[in-house]
Amino acid sequence: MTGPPALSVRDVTFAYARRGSRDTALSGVSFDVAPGHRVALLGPNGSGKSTLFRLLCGAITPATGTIERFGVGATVADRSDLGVVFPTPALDKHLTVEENLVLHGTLFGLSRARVRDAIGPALDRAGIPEVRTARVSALSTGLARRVDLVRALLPGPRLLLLDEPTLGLDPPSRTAFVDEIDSRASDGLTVLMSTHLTDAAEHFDRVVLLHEGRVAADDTPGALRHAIGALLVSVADSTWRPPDDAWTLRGATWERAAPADANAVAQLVGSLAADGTPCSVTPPTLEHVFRHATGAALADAEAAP
Amino acid sequence: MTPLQLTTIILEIVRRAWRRLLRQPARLVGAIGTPLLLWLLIASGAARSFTPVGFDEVGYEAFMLPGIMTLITVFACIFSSITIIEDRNEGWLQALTVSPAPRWTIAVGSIAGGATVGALQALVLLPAAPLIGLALTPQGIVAATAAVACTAIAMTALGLAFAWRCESSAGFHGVMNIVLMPMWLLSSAMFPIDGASAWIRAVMQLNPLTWCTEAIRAPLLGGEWLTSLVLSAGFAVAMIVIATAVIARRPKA
Repeated sequence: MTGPPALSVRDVTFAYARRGSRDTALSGVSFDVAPGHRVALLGPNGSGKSTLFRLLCGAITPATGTIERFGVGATVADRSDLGVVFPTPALDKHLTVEENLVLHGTLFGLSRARVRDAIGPALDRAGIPEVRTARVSALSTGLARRVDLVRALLPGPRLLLLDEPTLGLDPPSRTAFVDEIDSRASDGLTVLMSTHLTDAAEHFDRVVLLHEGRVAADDTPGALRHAIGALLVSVADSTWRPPDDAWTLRGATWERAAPADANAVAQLVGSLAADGTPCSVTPPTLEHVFRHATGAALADAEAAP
Repeated sequence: MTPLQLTTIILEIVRRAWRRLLRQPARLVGAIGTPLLLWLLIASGAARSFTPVGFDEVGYEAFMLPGIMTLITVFACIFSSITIIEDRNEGWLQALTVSPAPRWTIAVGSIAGGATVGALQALVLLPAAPLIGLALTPQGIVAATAAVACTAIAMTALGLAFAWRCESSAGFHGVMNIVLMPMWLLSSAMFPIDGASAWIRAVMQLNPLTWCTEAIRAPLLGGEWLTSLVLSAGFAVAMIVIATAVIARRPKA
């Protein structure tokens, strides 16, 4: 890697003041995002993702630690190279798509004429040229999200931050949205996406797992999965009594790495079946990785207050 | 950013305020219709019962017209300010606050947008003045327009400063009702300062909305308007400074 990272987070701590006490949201969070990489920030609700996202945007400042974009402090860095997509599309529903995009373009110092010229190609590239004159209130959720992505990309940012951008999208819309991000990333755009959906994070270059305000793991999806074994044997019954210490209860599921030998796997599954214990043998997912790293399931952690 | 870029940002925010108004006819009807109805009912109903002290020659309808223009301005500008709360709930404000645009351009654009929307709704009533026997002069029209503009700027900025820190539009309405209704009632909109008891008179003279209402009334009914207009302009400038400071200080994202 030459030059500074697109994003550098070092020992960041943040706490909210609540009625005389301080509620710690982030503790010693550190990670880097290299230029041109796609990184997913994966964690359940309440893990500190939203707070970290606001810090990365420069909307708030950390209590301790530093955040830099391209080598400059986030609160003083030039925001013209930053594109941000929030969980709710940042579009005025009373305005047309074009009116929204012109307004946002001018916020980045672009002239109205220049933005108008750029809108056509941008919507063409996103595959939605037909929405240009449509009122935002008339768009479906999926289309509004895709227009919002065009809004964030129109000024030509070098770094794109996305906070739960696929929330509430149906599978086709989600696929179209992710394809558009991939297409931009292949052009060298650096992407950091905050999400609690493992399938959304799976195809990113790197995944940073966030749990209770700390980084629980940080690696490529493949390396994270490989670290807990090629295959996992799972028994989805917390009341079940495992026969040996190889098993670990994670959330409501007992898990163990499958033996390397295929015959041994078959023997293990056979013995469980003989005891009337249904089990599954699957390659590990990021859900498994999260459970392995934190001892909690993503869904359980989400349900916790 | 260059002055041209900053001006473009402000004009785009103003343009947005107008588009939002014109695409929500109910808002237009609410802001003009309610005070207009109030004027017709109160002024017509009370015309023969009340003679405002010091305004024997013009009648109650004419006395109340500037007060109703103040009320329309207040209503319309406050409606515009609520946009900030909707913007926050819909995510639009977050995008605005993380953009490279300086915060003061957001403040100035929002104030200019809300104020022009509010002022023009109030000025719609100006042509009604000759119908109730008021003689409009070019100088009077200019002075009354300037007074309405100052009122609109001040009230939009006041609303924005509150709205920026309010979590919900219900809370905003609550606070605004407590602040604005007494302000308007004690602004000489419904009764003249000279006829009020001593303590009410003192409160009215200190009420900035009184300066605004008097600055609108004096050019229409014939009277010295410069002092009121200067005070109204000072009120507007003070509110711009306060609103800009509130918006520039910290994002309510």
